[in-house]
Amino acid sequence: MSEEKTRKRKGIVHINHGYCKRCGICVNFCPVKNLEIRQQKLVELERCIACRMCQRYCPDIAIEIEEIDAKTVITGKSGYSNGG
Amino acid sequence: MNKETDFKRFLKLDLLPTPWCPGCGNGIVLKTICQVFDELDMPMKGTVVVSGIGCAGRSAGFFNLDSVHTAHGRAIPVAEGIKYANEALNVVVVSGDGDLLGIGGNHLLHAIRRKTDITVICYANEIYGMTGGQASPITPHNIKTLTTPDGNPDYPTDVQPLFRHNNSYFARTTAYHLNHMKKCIREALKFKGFSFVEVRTMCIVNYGRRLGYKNSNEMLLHYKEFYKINDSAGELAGNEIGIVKGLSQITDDR
Repeated sequence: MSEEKTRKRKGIVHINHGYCKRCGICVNFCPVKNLEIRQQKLVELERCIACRMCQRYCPDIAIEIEEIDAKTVITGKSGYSNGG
Repeated sequence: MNKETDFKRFLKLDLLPTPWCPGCGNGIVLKTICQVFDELDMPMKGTVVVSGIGCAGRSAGFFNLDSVHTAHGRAIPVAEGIKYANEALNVVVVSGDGDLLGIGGNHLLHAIRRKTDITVICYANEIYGMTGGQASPITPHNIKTLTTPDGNPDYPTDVQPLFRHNNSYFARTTAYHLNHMKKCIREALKFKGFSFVEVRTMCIVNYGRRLGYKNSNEMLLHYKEFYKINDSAGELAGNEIGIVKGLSQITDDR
């Protein structure tokens, strides 16, 4: 099950929480519902397909997508979402 | 740094986050301008950004370039002075619709006449956002604002005939159509002569809320449905976006 999920994943979302204002544009633009605002904080649910819609429409330059090889296996929830 | 984030060299990243409200479209336009600067590889020491007062006027400080934050409505005269003093500079004016068309409307009128080689990028949010949401020159008819609670009795101004008659460049685009916005700004920067890009951006806090939009995403989707791209027209209708270049035969006849 977890292998199935990692195979589909193609991008890593870097969220800069210092710049983010929680306006919710990225949440509405994401085609796979990857982003969510929980307790006044933007969180990522690790199903990014690297379409870069959130990065293009973010007014605060808070999101960066790092595209990775789809076959790369990621072990566990890493600290990637803390961003730069 | 990859191709997608190269535009950040034109921004002062230590001054971010921007002072604008959550959901404001100005950030999208600021980012797109930087992306076009990066695409055209504008020289860091040969580009000047001039801005007026208002929400959009704040953006000049965020460019990692020489910039001037001038008096209200006087962005275009300062930019023209810079251009006349040193012809080699690329001068870009970044300001709002209230600043350029309302307070500085007279200066715009004469800048079109003089055809100085500067580029004006107008963040048209249809409102005076910084002071609380008063009606601006391009607020549409029958729209509720702070100063027109029963609907705007006036009709919006349209400056494109002035540009057409003086053989200058006018383009209208929106914050939703990112590729189209890039194209409009790129062509405007390349254009020899006075060029004006009107970017419709959303102001949710002081404008959209009164119209019944729940969030700025709804306003973006409204732009998607309302505006149609028409790049071949000689004149743009109210719901069309595109590029209008001056008709050369009109200036030849005069």
